[in-house]
Amino acid sequence: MANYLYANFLENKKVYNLAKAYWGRLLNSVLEEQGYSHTPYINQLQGAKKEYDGNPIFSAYIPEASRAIRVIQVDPKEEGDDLSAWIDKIELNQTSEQRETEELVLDIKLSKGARNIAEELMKKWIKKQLNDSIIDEVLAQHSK
Amino acid sequence: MTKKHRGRIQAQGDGLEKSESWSQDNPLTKEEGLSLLEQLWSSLTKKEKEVRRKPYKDAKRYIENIDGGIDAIKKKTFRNRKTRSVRIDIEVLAGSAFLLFVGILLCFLLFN
Repeated sequence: MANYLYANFLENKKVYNLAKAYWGRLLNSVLEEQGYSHTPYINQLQGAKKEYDGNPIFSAYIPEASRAIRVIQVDPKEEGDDLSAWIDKIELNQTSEQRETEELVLDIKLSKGARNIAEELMKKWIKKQLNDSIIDEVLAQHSK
Repeated sequence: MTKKHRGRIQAQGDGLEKSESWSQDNPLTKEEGLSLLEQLWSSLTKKEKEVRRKPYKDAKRYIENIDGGIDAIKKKTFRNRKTRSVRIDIEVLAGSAFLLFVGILLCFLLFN
């Protein structure tokens, strides 16, 4: 079984916050080269309470690239592969129905291997070198 | 004119893109949200439903359990984990949604 980081993040809020911060640091390191910034765009509250379900654990809009990244972190005990990814769209301008931003969605059980693939996908996404077939290629390459 | 409260519930992945959306002056109630999810579910073919049965149940449970509504921007994904991206997404894009009707009525009475 793969070695998972922050494996009990759904049971412990402190661990959850550490996992969330980990994603922030990872994206900072990806964006460092270009000097890009990022800001969260998903509201983490339900009513007055913060959600701790990992769906998503992290979101970032990168204005310089006009792109968004949403990370859904799931319990390592869940079925399925450690990492799945796809491209979606989201309206980030609440006053207009016109503008849609492209969003890379990562659905991940945070093993070290999955983390490395996520980093590779994020880098390609920021550089606008990613589409659905390249995601397929990257995921297939790493599942060998 | 753009409405204050907007969002959509989508069935996506594996080439599918079907959705039910709302755009209105008042927040969507929980009952209306569940009704939109049912409408979306009814619009799917047998095959499309088969692979989305668990995402559908998870999305329904999520809406049912919302306490105090949710505010934009919110996006929840319920994926069939045996597939790459077969899923149901709930998006609150502007305003609030999934409030209890009683809550909306109270707000209306308080602020009008």
